[in-house]
Amino acid sequence: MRIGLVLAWLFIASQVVLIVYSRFIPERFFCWAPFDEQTVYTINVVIDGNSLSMEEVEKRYRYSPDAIEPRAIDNIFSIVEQYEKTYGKTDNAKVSITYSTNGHPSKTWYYPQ
Amino acid sequence: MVLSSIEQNYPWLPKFYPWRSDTTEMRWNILVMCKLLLVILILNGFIWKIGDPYIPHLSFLDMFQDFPGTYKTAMRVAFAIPAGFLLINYKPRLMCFILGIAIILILLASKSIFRNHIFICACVFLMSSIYKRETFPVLSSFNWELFI
Repeated sequence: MRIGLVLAWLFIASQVVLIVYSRFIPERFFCWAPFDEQTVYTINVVIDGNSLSMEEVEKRYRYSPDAIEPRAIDNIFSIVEQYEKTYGKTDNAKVSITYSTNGHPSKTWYYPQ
Repeated sequence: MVLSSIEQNYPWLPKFYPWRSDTTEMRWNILVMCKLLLVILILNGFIWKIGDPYIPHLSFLDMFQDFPGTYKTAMRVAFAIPAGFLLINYKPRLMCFILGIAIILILLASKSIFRNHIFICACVFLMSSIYKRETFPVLSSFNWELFI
């Protein structure tokens, strides 16, 4: 029981650390404090001059390519960047994500940047 | 209170009957909360979303790409068996602990599957597994404060 309590305190402490850590990084994984942003986004992928269809993009990242993201848009940047640096390294894909957060003017994020 | 009156009125129901919550080592309200969260996860089709590591949070999990289906099967079993036992009131604290660990391992294996509410469920399962029925779940309360 005592070991269980110690581990539980450590688990709670780790959550607090993650919440504080998230203040210094753009992603919001494992720091589930309320997040009041809604981002409309579209992911476009071009490989060897050919644009992938929405279905192909969804299959590539296992994530919806055209939706509303209720968490940080940087989470999606992180998914795309990690995929392109690992599994898709040899594809030399050019990815662009057009997004608008809370109705503000659209921006575009590119990979490679 | 409604649940406890059900149990008082129908004491002949077997201990493993899913609607009973007074027969275990857990507080009945904590047990009901865990069961409801579990039912929501099941209805949400969470078990079918469990897959092999794909764009994982921890890069070493990519080694399971060499053994297709291994991680997926292990995690589905680690989720399904404790879920079944929890619903029939068999060692609910242990089952909550296994469920919490399994869900966190599933989330760590894929950034694409990560959702805040699923992580919160995992935290609730883990915290609920610590306390016996006679102890007030102080750490669960702390954890809920963090969620809010």
